[in-house]
Amino acid sequence: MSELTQEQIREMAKSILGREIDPSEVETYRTRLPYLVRAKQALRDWAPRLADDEPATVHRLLDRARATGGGRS
Amino acid sequence: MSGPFATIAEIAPAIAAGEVSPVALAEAALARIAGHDEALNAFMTVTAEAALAEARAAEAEIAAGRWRGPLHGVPVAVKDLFATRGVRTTAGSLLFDDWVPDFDAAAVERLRGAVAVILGKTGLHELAYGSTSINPHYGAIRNPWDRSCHPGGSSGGSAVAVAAGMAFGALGSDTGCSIRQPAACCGIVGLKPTFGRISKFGAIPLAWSLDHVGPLTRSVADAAIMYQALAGFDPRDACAADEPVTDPTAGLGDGIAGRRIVLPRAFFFDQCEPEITAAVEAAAQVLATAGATIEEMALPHIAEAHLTGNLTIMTEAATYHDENRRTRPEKLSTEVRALLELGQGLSAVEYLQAQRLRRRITQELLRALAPFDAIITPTAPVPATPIDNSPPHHGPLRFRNTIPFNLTGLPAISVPCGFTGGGLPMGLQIVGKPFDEAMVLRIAHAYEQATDWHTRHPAL
Repeated sequence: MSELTQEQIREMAKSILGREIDPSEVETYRTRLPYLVRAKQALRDWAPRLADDEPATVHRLLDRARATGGGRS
Repeated sequence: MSGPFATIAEIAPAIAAGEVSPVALAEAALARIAGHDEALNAFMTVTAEAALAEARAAEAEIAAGRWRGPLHGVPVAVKDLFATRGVRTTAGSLLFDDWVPDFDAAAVERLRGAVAVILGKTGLHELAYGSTSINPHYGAIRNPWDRSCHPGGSSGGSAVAVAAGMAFGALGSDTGCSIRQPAACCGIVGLKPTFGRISKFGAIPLAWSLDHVGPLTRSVADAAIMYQALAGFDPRDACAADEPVTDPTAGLGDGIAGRRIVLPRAFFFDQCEPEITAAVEAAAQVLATAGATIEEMALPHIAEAHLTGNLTIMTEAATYHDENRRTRPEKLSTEVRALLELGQGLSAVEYLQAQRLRRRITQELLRALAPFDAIITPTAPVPATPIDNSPPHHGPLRFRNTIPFNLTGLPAISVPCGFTGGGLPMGLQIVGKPFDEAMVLRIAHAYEQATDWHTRHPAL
């Protein structure tokens, strides 16, 4: 893949970060912004296939052990 | 056996029998830190006086006939993102430069409960948000195998302290790779248990749903000992799992005959250094010779697991540090400030879509793994590289093979599996089923017993 131009990186920044980045910031974002654009697209591509999937729940709000402050150790 | 590279499993019986003095061990560890840490920069804070006081108390208790287990009187180190009562806790960031907690993190409480002797706090990548431990505020931490190279990260200081014989074990945290990859880079063992197994209470978060706590040690048996002391439910951690903890040290030597292990070629070996590929292939042979069956199979949606893990870290880190980024940006490096800003570029809808995908990935991975006992992969496809000249494309590769198991919460360990031609360590990752740390440790122990990589130590 050919390297993106400064202008392309700055356009991506404007779209994703909502601000202009100055030329000194371009290198900081050069690999990360295109990655984020691809990742966002991948999520959009997956969305139609997730009709029955609820979000993963890794934080549990209530359960007996938490309510009593006890549990096994 | 004693000396700086003895293992906890080796010295614990001698401590219990009164043949090895915890005070002498602490003095020797502190002398080693004094002698070598100026060059390595593993420690942020050395609590020498407190360590000696703890060692004296530990020794007196043993002399009175009250030995409390295999960590009793053993010198250990703690990553500087775990709160320690009365001792500065920075997370490697100027944001916390002057924070002195008035409480101990749960994992530190557990170490104190096991009467381990805490030598001090180890350095890390800024906010644990990176994998080199090149810290712009507190200096680069250096790999003891080659001081011109980074030690991996973010738990770089903990890995170096253990690899260099300055501590017998150390506490680390792992959000994408941060226990396993520095363990691989430094030639030691690093265990990331199942998500929720060890309390995160008092650990400064990077990403709540991906952060794991675990030990770094010089042997698999030592990882089992530390894990056993650290694991257990804690109602103060919203993610804590209320699952029984079985003693992993009991079946450690039971062997792996008949165990089925997956070797997934796709994804995990892409862009892998040939020496690392060869080392992991040789490790598979060792496991096969020990009686396991190695079966090649692609894991479902693993590339998406990498992507979803990344998006989750970015969003959760940006959320936790939102106020810091807005009100105290000058306290952050350009690098971390950019990562936090990128996390702001993801919407709530995208975060939740990622969590829906996360559920699907986890379910399908568990289904695929049902007939198997474990997965093996390279811990990282690249070894440590020079601090002053790290190839930019290594950045995402350093955590690529490990982050899928933060996302899915599966237990995973890195064990040493060889050295590059340049003398840098390489790591083998062994991943197990949820809450089956005992099997992960058993397979790792079988591999370790059949090889001698763990017996090699850096010349300082």
